[in-house]
Amino acid sequence: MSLPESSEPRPALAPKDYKRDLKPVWCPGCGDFGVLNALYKTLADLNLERHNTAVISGIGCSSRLPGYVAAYGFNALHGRALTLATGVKLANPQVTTIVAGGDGDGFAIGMGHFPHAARRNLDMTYILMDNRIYGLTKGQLSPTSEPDLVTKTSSLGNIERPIDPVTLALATGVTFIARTVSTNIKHMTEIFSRAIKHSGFSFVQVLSPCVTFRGKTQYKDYQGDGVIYLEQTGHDQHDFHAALKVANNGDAYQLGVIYHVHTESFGVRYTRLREAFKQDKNSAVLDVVNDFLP
Amino acid sequence: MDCRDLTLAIVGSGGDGVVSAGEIIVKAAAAEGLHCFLLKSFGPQIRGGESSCKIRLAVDPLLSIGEETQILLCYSWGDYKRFTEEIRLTKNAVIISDTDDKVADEDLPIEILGSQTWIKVPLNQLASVEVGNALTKNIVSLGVLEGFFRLPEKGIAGQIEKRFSKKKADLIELNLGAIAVGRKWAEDYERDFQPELPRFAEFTPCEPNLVLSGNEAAAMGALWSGLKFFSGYPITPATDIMEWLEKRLPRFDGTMIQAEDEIASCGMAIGASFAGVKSMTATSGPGISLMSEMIGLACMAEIPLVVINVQRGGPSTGMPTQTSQSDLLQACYCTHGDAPHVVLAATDVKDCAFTMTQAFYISEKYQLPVLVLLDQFVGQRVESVPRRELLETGIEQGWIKRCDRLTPDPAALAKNRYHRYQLTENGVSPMSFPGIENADYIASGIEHNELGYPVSHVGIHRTMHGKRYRKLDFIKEEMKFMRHYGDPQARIGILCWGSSKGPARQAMLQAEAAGIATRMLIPSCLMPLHSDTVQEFIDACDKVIVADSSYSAQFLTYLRTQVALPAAKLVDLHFVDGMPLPVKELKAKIEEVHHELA
Ligand SMILES: Cc1ncc(C[n+]2csc(CCOP(=O)(O)OP(=O)(O)O)c2C)c(N)n1
Ligand code: SF4
Ligand SMILES: [Mg+2]
Repeated sequence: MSLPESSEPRPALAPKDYKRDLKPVWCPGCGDFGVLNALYKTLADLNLERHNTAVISGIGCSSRLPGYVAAYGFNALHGRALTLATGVKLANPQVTTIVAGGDGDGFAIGMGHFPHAARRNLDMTYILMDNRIYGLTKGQLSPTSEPDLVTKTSSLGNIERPIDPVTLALATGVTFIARTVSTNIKHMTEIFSRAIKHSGFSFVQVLSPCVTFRGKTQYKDYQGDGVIYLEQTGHDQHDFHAALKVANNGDAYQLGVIYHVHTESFGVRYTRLREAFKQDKNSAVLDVVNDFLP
Repeated sequence: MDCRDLTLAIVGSGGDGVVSAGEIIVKAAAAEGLHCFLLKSFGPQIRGGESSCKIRLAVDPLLSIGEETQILLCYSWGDYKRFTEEIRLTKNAVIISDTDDKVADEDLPIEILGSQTWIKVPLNQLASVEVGNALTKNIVSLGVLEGFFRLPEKGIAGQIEKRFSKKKADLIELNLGAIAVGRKWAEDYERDFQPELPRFAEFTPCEPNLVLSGNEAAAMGALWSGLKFFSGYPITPATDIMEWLEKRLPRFDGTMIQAEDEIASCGMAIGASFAGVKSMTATSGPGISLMSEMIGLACMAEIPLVVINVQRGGPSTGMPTQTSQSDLLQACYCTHGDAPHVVLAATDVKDCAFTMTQAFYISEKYQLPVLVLLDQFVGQRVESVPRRELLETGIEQGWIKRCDRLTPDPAALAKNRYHRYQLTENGVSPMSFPGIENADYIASGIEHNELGYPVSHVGIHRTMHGKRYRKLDFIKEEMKFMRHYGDPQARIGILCWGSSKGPARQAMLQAEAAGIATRMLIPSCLMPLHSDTVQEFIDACDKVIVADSSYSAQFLTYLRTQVALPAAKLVDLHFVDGMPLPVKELKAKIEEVHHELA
């Protein structure tokens, strides 16, 4: 997005200034704490105005996040955050709009909205806090759960194939796609910053461990050889085919900006359309009755 | 025979141009200041298939579409079969059919009585041979109607010119020629056979009336009230609203977006309203079913929202092109939990605009969802409305100006911490939106305290329920919104709602002509219902007819939750949905009740 220009220089806010006096309900050790801290840092780094920022979520452990950010927030319905965010951005374009939520929220119940948010390319950032499990409802299968995973609804192991959100984002034409991990605040902050600055729809998958229902395994998996930073591999973010290759993680999680392209956002196109409709038309709203003269 | 009021029906298949012929007649009449109604009806086919339109033209203002049809123009008897219930003819009706549409007498879907006049016109022949273009058949028949029944000649010519002016100039000439061919045929026939025909009375043309549908009026009422955001998903019979706004909202710096489904359209509207602009969505029954979780969210998060339901026959896909009053209970109880919201219903085309200004007034002032019930009968029928009257609905009453929400006082914000859900006497707390400094808050569907912070304390839940429900008490007193008709002393009372108003008033007038006095009460605000007013009405009548178009008598079911209806007084008169309240049956019931009382 294009950041709002303020007429007077504002005193810079520190990450703590974006903190609300509401204590997170998350379990100690939950990956979502990292995401929240990185978000505070990002908002401070970008010096975003609290009153011109909105964080929208659905339902889930992760979806509690907007309540902890001192900005406008909406903790809405399970799976529907993108729809509300679309309304917010279209109605009030100067608002930096951030969507956050879980894997079940975004890629099970809310999946139907994702491709449409992508193809509209509205100027907003969607942060997926992916723990590959249903946290809030206490440990059921998620659409991103690995094959054979034993959960409360797959006691003999998951027999379904998981979705890879990044591959899906590529297929639906998202214009900025990145993957990061909640154990690396610095990396997350950089990625969030770039995502928010991107003009158009940006999508960030954060690998965010659930200690309660996935034990310690996820923390182990996201360490050392388990992850590859694309910044170090010479990955070309503008190459769609290269992006497809790294989207599918293989042996190690590929972290960094995976794909980045510029296309006009919905807002820009709609503004042009508005101008076209306004030409040669009466502008007083009551005169609309004249459209019905026989 | 001269008449100041003429009913007419046209039936054919999609390709016959039934609807455009109907529209031309109605617009022609309105252009000369006449009053008219147009009701279209289609079979389930996407293109082609049977279609019909019923038209009523009058010198004086009209109440309804009219029950029995005086004139039938039938292009095909095969297509007429589908409409035998909807289009009923008077005993001395004039029937005009195409000579080419040959059907054996015993196969006719209509009883041919000696009292009727049946004129077979070689419509196909006239169009293809005399005019030289078979596609002009509907225009030729307009000429025939014009000649026989003295329909407004100048108006029709004007409409032909308007309709074809954007296309090629020779099309205007061709079609005006087609009118002349039809008219001449009718004149020759009259000269040779001198049939006994109803003719539209001579009248002095005056200022043109506007011609619009209920859906269009509703969309315009919303625009007048300051609508800035519309999201929708196509569904019959509500799509017209979205299509009309698509072209208008951008003109007034608003936004219209076609969502991926109704959950999304309702979510977007809630998001936009949260962000500070007046928002709405419109759909029909299946869409409301999908939106119900969102409607509950708007109740809980206290977000102003207007949702129109243009009812169609249900359940499930039901009868998408037919009218219905069977979503009343859904409108009242669509969400889980205790979710206070408002249900309004519009009674006619003009009222659609007015009801929308009310809907925005209530939703903005009280920060809750308002469901507006229209139905296919009022939403898709076209009526003529005097321009001045339409403008008065919103402006003179000042509703439009008042459609605004309470925002936090900047001075208070500078001093005290902002409590979005502050407890107040009437339950309404100042609502901020992104862009307002020092007033950021978290809106949520989860139960919350005054700050908006999540809580699961039963005591707070009770308090917040109280806050949200208090609004209804205030709305109930402020928005009595009751319509009374007829003789206030009458012993027979009628209770009905929404689009049943027109047919019911028609039946009342007929009863009055037969010396039977009736009175009627129509609540336009169904939830919260001002039950004292309804109870007083019931108590004052000796018999009360409760009428609606729903198979399971939903209006009666609902009233029973609100008022006492003694069995001895009650006359239940519900009809299957699919068609508007039938005047004839209501009138018969009034007579029956009258005899019982005597
Ligand atoms: C319509 C609906 N169905 C089901 C639920 C119950 N529910 C709440 S959160 C959730 C899934 C949470 O998983 P996820 O989105 O991955 O978030 P996490 O808790 O893991 O962060 C479910 C099924 C609900 N709130 N609403
Ligand atoms: S259940 Fe898992 S996801 Fe939810 S708060 Fe606890 S650790 Fe985090
Ligand atoms: Mg999850």
